[in-house]
Amino acid sequence: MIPNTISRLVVLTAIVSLVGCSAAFYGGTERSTSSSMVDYLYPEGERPVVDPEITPRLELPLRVGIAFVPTSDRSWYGDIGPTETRRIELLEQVKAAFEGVDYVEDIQIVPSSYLGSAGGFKALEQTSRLYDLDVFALVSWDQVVNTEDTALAILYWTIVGGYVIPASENSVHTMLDTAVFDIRTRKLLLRAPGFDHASRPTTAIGSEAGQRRISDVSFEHAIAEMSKNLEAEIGKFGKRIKDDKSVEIAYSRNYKGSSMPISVLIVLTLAALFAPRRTRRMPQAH
Amino acid sequence: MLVVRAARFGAGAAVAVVLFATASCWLYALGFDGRAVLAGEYWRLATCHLTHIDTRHALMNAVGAGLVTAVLLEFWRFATVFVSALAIAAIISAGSVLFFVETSFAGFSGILYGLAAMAVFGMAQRTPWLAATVAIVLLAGVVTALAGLNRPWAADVAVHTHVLGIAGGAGIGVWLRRRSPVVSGVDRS
Repeated sequence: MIPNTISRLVVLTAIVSLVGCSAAFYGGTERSTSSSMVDYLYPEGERPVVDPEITPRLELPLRVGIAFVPTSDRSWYGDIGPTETRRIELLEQVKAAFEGVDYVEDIQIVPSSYLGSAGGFKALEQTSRLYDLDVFALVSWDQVVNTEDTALAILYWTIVGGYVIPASENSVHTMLDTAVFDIRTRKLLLRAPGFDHASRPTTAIGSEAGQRRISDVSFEHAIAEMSKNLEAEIGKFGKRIKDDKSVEIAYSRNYKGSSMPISVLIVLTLAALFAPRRTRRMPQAH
Repeated sequence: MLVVRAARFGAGAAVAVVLFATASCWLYALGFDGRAVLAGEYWRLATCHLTHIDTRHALMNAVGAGLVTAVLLEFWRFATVFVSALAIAAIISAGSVLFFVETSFAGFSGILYGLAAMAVFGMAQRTPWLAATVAIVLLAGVVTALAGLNRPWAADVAVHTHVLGIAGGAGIGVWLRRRSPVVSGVDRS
């Protein structure tokens, strides 16, 4: 009787354990990370006020600040968003989009911690004063990582399968957006998005690390795309503010420049190439 | 011939770069500021032409200085060109004090416009097409700047220096031609 009971208990324990294993391995998960531009700039649920009468007045050359919009929400199972160090590395790519722009004098990467968790334009203005900035480029993001087990996940039942069979499909969707604001008038000057979608299979055991890796790579790709778009938008913005009156241009230095247009230099080059050879002065007849 | 002109261009541009870079370090002390001039800072009348607002501004004008040097030395001696440049600078500074005292400026291009206008008179006899092209482009540069079409990022354009420079350079060019007419390729002295 007793041995029979023991053998029943062993079988029951084995069944419960296997079910537990499969419960641990099987099933989809979704992890997301995001920072909202609107939530940050209007933390009290204020409504953005757009006054068409106010024209941004940019004093050239500009000093530009770049930062990721801070995020306060952290999921209990770990945040997959980029760390502060990684954010600064990624922002270097955004910075490159502004480098070489005629009307930009200086570009500063601002750590998210300097923007303040309370948010709002006031926090942005304080940081701008600290860094002596004219415009701020804020980068917000939204990323979702889904993990779904494929039919091969049945092999996770073997325990060993959880280590060697890549039956968990991780897919990631990343959306980044840079919005450039004039600090004084709080007006949006330009914006540029960047998107990325990728998927990669991992084992059940490697799923956590795989999610982090795919998340990071996707951020990098989205930043690269966004930087290209930003560069194009900056070029368009430069032309636009020269042509229309949507932005008032002023020069932070009081001096006017006495400078030559390129056309004059070209025609002088022509003259240097084709002007007649040295001629001598003819003396006046007496 | 081209080697000599290239050498002149290089020398003119190099000297200009050194002068502009040095003077630009003290833009706010050496640039043209009409009120400061009237208050006794007379050195600004001379130094304002050498100061520049940024590197790009200085380099563009240094290239221009090299080019006009290469062209003008085909028609006149160095001393003549140098004194003419001083005269054009004086005209621009005097005109700025008299008529544009509120406009602060920095840069050599007023003088460059003047020297280029002189070159038009030097080239007019043998290469009228080239002289006409240079003259048209100079005037177009002034017109587009007045219309706000030629607008650099570093600062607004001090168009009045270009107008005064062209007027001064054209006057000197006419005077030099009348005083000593040039004959191509023949030394009759």
